[in-house]
Amino acid sequence: MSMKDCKTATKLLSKQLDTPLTSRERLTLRFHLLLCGACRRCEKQFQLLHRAGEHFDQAPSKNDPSDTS
Amino acid sequence: MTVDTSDTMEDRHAKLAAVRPRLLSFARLHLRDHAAAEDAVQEALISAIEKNDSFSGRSGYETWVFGILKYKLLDQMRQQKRMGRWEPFSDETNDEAIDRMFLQDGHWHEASRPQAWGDPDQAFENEHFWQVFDACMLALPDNVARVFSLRELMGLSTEEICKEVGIKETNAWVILHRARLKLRACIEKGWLEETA
Repeated sequence: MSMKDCKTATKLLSKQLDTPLTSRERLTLRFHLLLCGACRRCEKQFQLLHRAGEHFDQAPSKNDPSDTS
Repeated sequence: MTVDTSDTMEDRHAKLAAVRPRLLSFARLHLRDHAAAEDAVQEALISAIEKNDSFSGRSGYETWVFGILKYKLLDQMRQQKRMGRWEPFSDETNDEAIDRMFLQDGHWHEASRPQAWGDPDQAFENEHFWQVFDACMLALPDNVARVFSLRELMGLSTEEICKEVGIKETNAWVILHRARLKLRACIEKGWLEETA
């Protein structure tokens, strides 16, 4: 993976949410992220999407009607 | 969250009524169809009342009800699959929408470079974020949305997903990568523009 290859970096950003990366993949990715702000933002956003499911069955929604009459 | 197995039936009904809107948005995201989502939630609520005595209090009551809904949704998906209602998964051809996000050398295209979204926890509290999320999920192709939803909303592992939908794990990773990139781009467009 070349230093500028953000497309491959996002592939690893996605993959690490589904399966452990190899140590080689992890190092390459960490190094890329050190130098690339756009991919760091992408990582945060992928992680946000990854947590979307929790929102439904854990956080009590503020939009729920509290009166159930 | 108060977990109480000594709730009266009335308490339980009140909790079900309170959690219903969230069950419905969850089911709608997964099924992409409002009427089908209403049906699935209705069935889950009835099940929850019927099986009331089997709630052990080990998880929160709402989490337990969500578990019932997830089970129903999976069951329904298996039926649809058996009845041949699914488009076949296309193999890993290039995806033009994804190609447009990057330059030839793999660097972000200027217009697609991710922007900061601010505090992520605030996003989840923001109703508009969920409207945008909903719309962006609907914009995904059926198969892509299905795999994304199984992974990120239903919480299945990619291995489990492969068994459910009949694809290879490498294929699942490609689909999830595309789904995340597309959702990310779509949400950024719809959400940041409004809150800017």
